[in-house]
Amino acid sequence: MTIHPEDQLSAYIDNELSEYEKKQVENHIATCDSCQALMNELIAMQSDLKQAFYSIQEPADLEDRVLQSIEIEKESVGFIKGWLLIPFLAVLVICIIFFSIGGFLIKLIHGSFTLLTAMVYMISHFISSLPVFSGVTVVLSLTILTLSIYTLRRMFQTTTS
Amino acid sequence: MNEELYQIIHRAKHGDREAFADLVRRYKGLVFRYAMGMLNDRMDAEDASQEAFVKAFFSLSNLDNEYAFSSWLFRIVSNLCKDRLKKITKERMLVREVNETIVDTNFSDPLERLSIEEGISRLSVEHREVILLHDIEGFRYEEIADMIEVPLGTIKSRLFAARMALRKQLRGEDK
Repeated sequence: MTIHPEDQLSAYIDNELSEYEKKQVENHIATCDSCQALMNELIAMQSDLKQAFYSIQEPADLEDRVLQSIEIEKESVGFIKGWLLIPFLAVLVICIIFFSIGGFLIKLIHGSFTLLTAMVYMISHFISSLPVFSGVTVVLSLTILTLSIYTLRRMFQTTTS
Repeated sequence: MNEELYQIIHRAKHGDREAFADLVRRYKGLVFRYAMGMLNDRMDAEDASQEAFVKAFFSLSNLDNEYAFSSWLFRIVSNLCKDRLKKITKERMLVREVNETIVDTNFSDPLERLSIEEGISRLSVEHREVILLHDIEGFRYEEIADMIEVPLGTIKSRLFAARMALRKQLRGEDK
């Protein structure tokens, strides 16, 4: 029984076979009418196909449409980028405000602390420089201390009783 | 690829709009014919071609090798056409579900003689793809294998099967 290399015929007409395979196909078609006919039919079909497709005209304005689409796409990308820029700018502004106000707050706290220390120093200096104030302060302190001890003792007594 | 074309692709890759317009002029016929063969509808083919070029413009900077521009472009067109075909099939299936009495578009008169374009449109997507890439676009087996990511042997057998299926369609043996 003769084996027809039909599957090789297609690659043969496309010149995609090795030299050895090509020789085998050529030897076969030289003696096989049906494979010769099939090969001719495939060649004719390929030619008809090319003719039919090459007669199709592409739209003349395709190029303009492509360039227009590119422009539109670029604009929309720019628009999206613009919209993305807004939240970014907002975050940036918040950060700037925070950092500038943050610095101011730190300075304010630092200044207040310095002022408070100076005031405490001034008050203590003022009290110690006047003997009347010193005596009044000592008496006031002792009174507060006594009252505190008394209150604490009463508190403990009521709790235990 | 000649030096002139290489330079145009190189310039387009680096953002030269004029060079890209030149590429569109050179490839629009090939791209459109391929899309026509795959989609069998002029409007769809126009849209797919346009979309392919726009996509190519925005991803051209990712092209590693200027010499591979042609197969790279056809990979884009091919994928877009396949996506469209999937969408069309899905829509048709939905319509069929809604209206069971819909006329089968593939139904044909046994005595009708098909044109070669109609014959192509009745092939499977895989068969259509290899025939168009080889016979119309002129790619070699190796390039097609690389483009659609299948072994070289598969391209050889698929192209033979596609031609036999087309021959069958044209001879009216499939009815």
